[in-house]
Amino acid sequence: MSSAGSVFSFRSFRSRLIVFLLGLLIPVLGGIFYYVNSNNTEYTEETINTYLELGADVFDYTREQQAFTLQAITNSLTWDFGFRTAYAAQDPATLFDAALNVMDRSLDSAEMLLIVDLEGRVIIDTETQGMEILSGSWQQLLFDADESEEGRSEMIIAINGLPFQVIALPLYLPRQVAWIIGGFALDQEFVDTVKETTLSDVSIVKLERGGDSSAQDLQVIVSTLATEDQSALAAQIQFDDSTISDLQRIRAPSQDYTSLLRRLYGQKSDPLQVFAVIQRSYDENSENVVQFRSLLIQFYLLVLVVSLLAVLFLARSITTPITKLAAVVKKIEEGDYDRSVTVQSADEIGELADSVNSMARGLAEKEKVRDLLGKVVSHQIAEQLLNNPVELGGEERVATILFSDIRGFTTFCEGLPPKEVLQALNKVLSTISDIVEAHQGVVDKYNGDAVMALFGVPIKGETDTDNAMLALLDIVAALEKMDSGLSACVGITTGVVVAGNLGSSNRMNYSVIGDTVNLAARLEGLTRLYGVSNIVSEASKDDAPGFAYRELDIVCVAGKSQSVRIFELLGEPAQLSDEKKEEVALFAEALRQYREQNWNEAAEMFSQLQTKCDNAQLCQLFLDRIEKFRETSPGPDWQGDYVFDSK
Amino acid sequence: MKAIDNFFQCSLQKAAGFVFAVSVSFALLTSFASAQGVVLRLQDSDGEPVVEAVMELLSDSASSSTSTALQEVEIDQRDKEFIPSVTTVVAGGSASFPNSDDILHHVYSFSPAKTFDTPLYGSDLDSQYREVFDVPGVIEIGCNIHDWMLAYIYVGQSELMAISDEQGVVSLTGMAPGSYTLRVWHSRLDAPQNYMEQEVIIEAGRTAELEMTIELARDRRVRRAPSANRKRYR
Repeated sequence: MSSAGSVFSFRSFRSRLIVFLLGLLIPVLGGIFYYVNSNNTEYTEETINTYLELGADVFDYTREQQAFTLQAITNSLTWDFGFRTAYAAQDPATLFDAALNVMDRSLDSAEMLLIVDLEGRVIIDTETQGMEILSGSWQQLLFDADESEEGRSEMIIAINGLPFQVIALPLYLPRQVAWIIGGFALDQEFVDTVKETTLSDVSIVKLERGGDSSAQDLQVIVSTLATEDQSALAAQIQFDDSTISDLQRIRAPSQDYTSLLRRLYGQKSDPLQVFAVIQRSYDENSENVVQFRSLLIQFYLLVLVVSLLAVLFLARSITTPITKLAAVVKKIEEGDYDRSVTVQSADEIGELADSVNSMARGLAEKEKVRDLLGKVVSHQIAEQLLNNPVELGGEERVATILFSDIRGFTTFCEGLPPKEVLQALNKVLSTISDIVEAHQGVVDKYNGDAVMALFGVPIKGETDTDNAMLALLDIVAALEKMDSGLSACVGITTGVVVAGNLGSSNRMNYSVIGDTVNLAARLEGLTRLYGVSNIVSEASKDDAPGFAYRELDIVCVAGKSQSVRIFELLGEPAQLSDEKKEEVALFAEALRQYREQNWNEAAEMFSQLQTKCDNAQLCQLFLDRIEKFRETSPGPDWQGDYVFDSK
Repeated sequence: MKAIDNFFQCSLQKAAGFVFAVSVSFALLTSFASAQGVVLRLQDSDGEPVVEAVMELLSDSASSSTSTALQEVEIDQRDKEFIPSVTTVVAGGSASFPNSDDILHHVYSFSPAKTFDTPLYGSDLDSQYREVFDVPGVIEIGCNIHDWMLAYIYVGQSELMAISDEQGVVSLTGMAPGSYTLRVWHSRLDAPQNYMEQEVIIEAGRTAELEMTIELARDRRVRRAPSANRKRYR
């Protein structure tokens, strides 16, 4: 499941799918969320701004409306004949009463009246501020009125700490003789009225600056806010040049407010400045945004959960059959071909499952063939057959051929039922086959009780002849051990053979042919004559010099023109006893005398050997030959070879 | 701001400056004629003729001509206006206020020189209300019904007074030669009590021709009420 080259490795296909899905979904959803949220927030802030601007406009409008009413009332006052009479009477006390009377009649539209003469001297002041001659803003007010076409001006002026909307009008008698200044307070009632209309909170704050500009005292004069929110407002609101036109966020205990300032009185460096603060609850307006946001998040969670479920289902629909397939394939790897996997789908995985099933069937069949082949032919040949293209034809190879036969088997079989004969034969042949295979040999064929085995074909090894020698020793020993009266006789030779598939194109057989094969069979046949268990050719002996041999003879077998020096394999040198070595040396000396035609010496030695050695038959063979050669000399060119005319 | 700070003082200063200016621009152009007199040509700072200004010659000698009979003048009320808007009367004289409109008027004055007010009255009671003006000074009269109605009665010390015409020219003849104080009053003259004075010497048989430039204050008047222009209330 993991690839070496990739940065991410996944333990399972499912987690890969999930990561892929999340990697795809989360940026997309996140992007949408960011876009929608920021747009919504922006829109909400715009809405709040609009409300605030509206609130400020209504504040101004309400103020203007009341100012207009004030103007109407004050204006009417200037034409009131009784008031004129009172003014002409030049009695301030009377005038004061007249002014209070007017204020009472105005239904609070006029809450203060101030009358000054044209020189600015205060005649009456219902607020009793103690001014004798007007100055400052009041003076500005009258200046503006005097400059205007209609002799009228209005302004917001702080009176006794409370901002008043004031208006100045001329008093005609019938020419102008004085100024009448009427005013109403921007008080709690006023801000309540504005709030009723705009649903925005309104506060009027007073900013007093000390001698140094840093010390400033901010006081909320009136407000529609709760008391603790007023304190937050006073603590947080900023009156810098940069912030005065901006919207400000006030974090009050109850909620957040967005605030807009309106300057009511005083310029920016004046010691006393009055501002109106229009406020709108941020939370209330952003409620929709918050609601929408949580809806969006819920929707996203739903999408994620549904997608995850879909992915899990998808992953499951893929991994379940794949896991099944993997298990089956593992079983197949272990050699269990009987399992088949069932996948109910027509897609690629279904195809894969079908392929695995047919592969398993194919492998099972092949294994069956291999198994059977291994029984019919040797394993090595079976492998050779299975792994190489099977074709007729062969190659010249050097190989060691072993022929084994069972001596005494015919006698052994007499009186036995055929089934038991076969059973006994199979037992012996199995033993021989196992020994051959144990020594990397290949059983080529069985012929009755005879076995032909190959060493060095089809697979060449380093010690093929040695292996053949060891197999020979084991076979002889095994049959002696069986103690069934049977003994093995074995012939071995080494030489060039033609190896390959023999037969027709439909039915063929891996085997070897050639003189070497024939020689091996002859050598096995000679063992009875020489009374030995085995005979190996000189070529084989030279190829496996690590063993102890006894030279037997030089023979010229039937069908062959060239003589062959033959030996008896005695075993490994270390296992030979001193007596045996002595005997072998004596035999070799006797053979030399024999070949030099010193008949007497040779006969004496063979006779001597015959008495103490275990192979009297061999000595008798040479003694018989010596008798014959005494009668008819083999001639001076004789090399010591013996010619066999028949097979 | 400086001007605003001195807003109330400035009118006084302006007046003083103005008196100085007038004295400079006083050009005495006398010419010989059969009888001695004064011709005064008035213009404002824009060079426009000043109409309805009153020129009065105040005799420096105590013996002024007082032999004339008590003067009676009439100030008509027509189309909700006083006609004429400026009237002169010698102290001791009187003025009547006939009503030529078909609605009632209520004439009043709060001027210190003469405070009075009439009841509401109509045209059938004409000249019934007559007010005597004993004290020299300017009486501003208005109508309590029609705020814009405004007229001035200039109560002079003698008959030596006249009102400037459309060309801003005002002339007097027949006074005794001698030294006089020439007083010019105008309702909008930018000076305390709207007048200013200048010594002038009248020579026998010569007409003193004077030119004077005066500064007028803003003419802030009450507009006629809109209903006055509508037929239905007439």
